[in-house]
Amino acid sequence: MTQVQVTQWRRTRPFWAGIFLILAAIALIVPPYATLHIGDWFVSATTVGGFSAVFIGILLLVLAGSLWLRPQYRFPAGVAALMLSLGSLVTTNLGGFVVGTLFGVIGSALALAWTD
Amino acid sequence: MAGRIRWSRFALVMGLGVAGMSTFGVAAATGAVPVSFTVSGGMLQASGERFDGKGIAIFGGVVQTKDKAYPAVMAAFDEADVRGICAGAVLEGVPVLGSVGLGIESEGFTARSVVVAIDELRTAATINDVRLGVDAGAASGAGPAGSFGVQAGSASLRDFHLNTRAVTAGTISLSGMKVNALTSKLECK
Repeated sequence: MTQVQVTQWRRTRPFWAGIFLILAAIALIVPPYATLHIGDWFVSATTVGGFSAVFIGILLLVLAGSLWLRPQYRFPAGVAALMLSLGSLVTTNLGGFVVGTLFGVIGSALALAWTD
Repeated sequence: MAGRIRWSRFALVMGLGVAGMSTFGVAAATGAVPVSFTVSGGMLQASGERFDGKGIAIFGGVVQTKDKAYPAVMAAFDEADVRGICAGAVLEGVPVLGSVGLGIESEGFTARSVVVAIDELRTAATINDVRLGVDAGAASGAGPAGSFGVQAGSASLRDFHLNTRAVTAGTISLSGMKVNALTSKLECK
């Protein structure tokens, strides 16, 4: 794809919404398997465990893919991503140390606000 | 046909999202939603006015950090109720900042399935239903089978001072917590 085609592809779909949902998914999935090391300390805050992290993370990735490949379904995808992001705050490491939830909410808001 | 973002709608949804986040955040902070928490590695100092524990198992254990193993007395509690606690730790080797102190003060908290790796403990204690020499694997809490263990029904500590390298809790319900980041060491009373 040329530069022009890439730009064209980005502009015809909620591109940044998808990016934020992917970042949110990474922020959710990674911490349970790589605990935070600060110097000699390690901090982990697990809730129901790694399961919900993978569960919500993968669904967010699927929704990001949906936004990019089927922009016309952005409303249901955006609402689902918003609910999952908020739910992750209590089920998954405080929403990936809040970062995952925050990116998820930003991504969902971008998806719902996008219009062609 | 390029798309665009309607920023007014973005602001509306973000507002809803942040409201939802703070609702859940407050619920977690006040203990309505269980959150489990683990810290280990460096030395955590804590002091408190009162500690009441139920379903206690004590056994020898090891705290494994990144490059060292420390012997510790592991104390497992089914239920713990702590009042007037002050805890502080210094994190060494933080990127950019060097070392940072972390201070936590709380009116108190209740916790379930707590395991504390005790390095040093000074207190006045009352312990009920003590059984010495229980197999650590059979005592409540997951001790290593075959090693010496102590089991007790309940314990009450007054004005305790604790040095620990690791604390694990299944569920913590906090009431009134204050967290401070300090550049110097926190001195608990």
